[in-house]
Amino acid sequence: MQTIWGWQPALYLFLGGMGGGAFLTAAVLYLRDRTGNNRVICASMWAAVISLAVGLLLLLSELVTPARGLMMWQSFSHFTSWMTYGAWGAFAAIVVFGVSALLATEKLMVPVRKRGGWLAAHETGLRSGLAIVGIVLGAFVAVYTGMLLMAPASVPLWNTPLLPLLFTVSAFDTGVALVEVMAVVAARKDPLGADAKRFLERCVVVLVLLEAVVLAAFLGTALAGGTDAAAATAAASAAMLVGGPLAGWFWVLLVAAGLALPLTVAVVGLVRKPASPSARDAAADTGDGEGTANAATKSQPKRWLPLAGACGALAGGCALRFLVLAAGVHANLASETILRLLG
Amino acid sequence: MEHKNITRRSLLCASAAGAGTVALGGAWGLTGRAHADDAAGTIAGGPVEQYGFLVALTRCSGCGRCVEACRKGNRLSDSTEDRRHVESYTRTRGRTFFASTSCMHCAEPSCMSVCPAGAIWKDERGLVRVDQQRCMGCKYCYQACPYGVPTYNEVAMDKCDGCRSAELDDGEDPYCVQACKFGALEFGPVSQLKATAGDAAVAIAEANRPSCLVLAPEKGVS
Repeated sequence: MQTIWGWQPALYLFLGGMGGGAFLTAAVLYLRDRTGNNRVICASMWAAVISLAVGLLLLLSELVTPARGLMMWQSFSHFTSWMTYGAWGAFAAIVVFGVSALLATEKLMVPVRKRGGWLAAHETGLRSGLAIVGIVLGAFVAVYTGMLLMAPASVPLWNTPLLPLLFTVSAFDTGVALVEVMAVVAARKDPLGADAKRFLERCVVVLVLLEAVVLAAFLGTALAGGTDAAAATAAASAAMLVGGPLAGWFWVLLVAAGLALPLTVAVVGLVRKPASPSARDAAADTGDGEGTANAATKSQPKRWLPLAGACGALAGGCALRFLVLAAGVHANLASETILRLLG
Repeated sequence: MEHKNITRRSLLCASAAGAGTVALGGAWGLTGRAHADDAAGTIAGGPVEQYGFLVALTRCSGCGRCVEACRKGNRLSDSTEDRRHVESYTRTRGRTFFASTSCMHCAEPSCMSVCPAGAIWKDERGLVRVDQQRCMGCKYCYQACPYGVPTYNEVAMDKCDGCRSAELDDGEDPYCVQACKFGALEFGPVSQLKATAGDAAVAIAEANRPSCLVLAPEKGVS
C-alpha cells in the first residue's frame, strides 16, 4: 500500500473537491434564483471556504518544512508542475469563495444596503460575477485533485484520464451533498424552495449514476491488466480495492453509502408526490406550532432521509480519496528488466 | 420568464467558462510536459554528457558494502533512509543474483518537472540533484518517480547525487563504486559504459530514460 502520502493529502483531496463542488452548487442555485434560498446559499459558501481552508492547512501540515510551503512565491514558482497551478488555483478560489460568502451574509449586507453607495448599488452584479468566477475556480480545484495524481504518469493505477474524471464527478456529487446538509441545517428558518430541492435531487441522480459508470470503467480498465509490469501493478491495485485488504471499505463506504444510499434517497424524493403549494405556504406561515408539524409531516419527506443520503455521499467521497491514494503503488520496473535478463 | 432566460444565459456562460477551465488545464499540462522534454539532456542550453551507473549482475555478492559506504561517505543522518538498495533475484533454474540500485539519474526526470519549487535540477554531468534549502518536502517527486526513489528526512527530500555534495574530487568515483570489491558497480559517462560493456549491457527500464545499465550474465552462466 502507498504510505508516503498519508491521511492529510487524502483528506485534502476530498475537502478540496467537496469545497469546490459545494461552491459551484451554491453559485448555480444563486444564478437560478437571485432572491431566494439565501440562507442555504450563504451557509454553503461558508462551508466551501472552510472545507478548502482546512484542506490546505492539512496539506501544509504534511510538508517536511511547512514554513517553506507558506512562501508560495518561491515554493510554487515552477510552472511545469500541476501542484503549482493547483496551489495558486486553490488560493484564488479561497479568496473568491470568501468574498462571495461575505456578500451572501445578510447580517453584514443589511447595514451596507442601508448606507447605500457603490457596493449596495452593484451587489447583485458583483455577486453574479463572483459566482461565475467561483464556478470556474471550483471546477478547476475539482479537476486538479485528479490531475495531481494522474499527471506524473508513474503510478499505474492513477495513470488514466478516468481518474480526474472520477474525482471531478465525485467532487460535484459531494458538493451537492454538502449543500443538502446545509439545507437541512437551515430548514427551520429558511427551508430550501421546492424547485431548488428538486434541482439538487436531479443533480444527485445524474452525478451518482455518472460516478458509478466512471468508477466501473476506472476499475475495469485497471483490472484488465496487461503483459508489462505497469499494467500488472494497476491490476493488483484495483484488485486490492475490490477484493483485497481495502475491499470492506470499498464496498461498504464507497459503493453502499456513497453511491447506493444517496441514489435511493434522491429517487425516492423525486418520485414522491410534490407538496401542494397551499400546504407548503401554510407550513411556512404558521411557524413552529403543532399545525406546522402536521402539515410538514404530510407534505414533505422526513428530514433525516435527505440528511442520511447526503452524509452517505460525503462518507463515500471521503473513502474514495483514501482508497485510491492507498492503492496507488509503484510498479517495480527494474525488477521486470532484471528478471527478463535472468530468464 | 425573462428572469429565467437571463438565468439560463448565465448558466451557459458558467458552463462555457467551466469547460474553458478544463481545456486550459489540459493545455497547461501539455505545456508542462513540453518544458520537461526541453530540459532533458541539456543544461543552460548546452548538451550534457550524461553520467550513470552500470550494475553487473554476476559480480554482485549482495554484501551491502556499497550501501554502508554511501551512508558513511555522504554522512547521512540517522533519520535518513539508505540511498542505495541491494535486491535479490532468483533465476527459475535456482541461482540467486543481486543488484545494487539507487537514483536512475534519468535523462527526462519526472521528479524535476513535478517539483513545484524548482528544487530539483540536472547538473553538468546530467546527475539529478536536489536543493535541500529550497525543497519543502511535499513528496510529489516520490509519486512522480517511476522507480519510487526519493525519500524524506527531517530536512527535505534525499537521494543519490553521485556523491557530488560529498566533496569528492572530479575524477573520483562515488563511494559505493569505490567500496565494491568485485567491480559490480561502475560509474561514468553512459555512452562510455555502453561502449565498454557492449551488447550485454541494457537500460534497466524505459520510463524517463534512466541512466543505469544492467550487465546481464554471459551465456552459459546458470
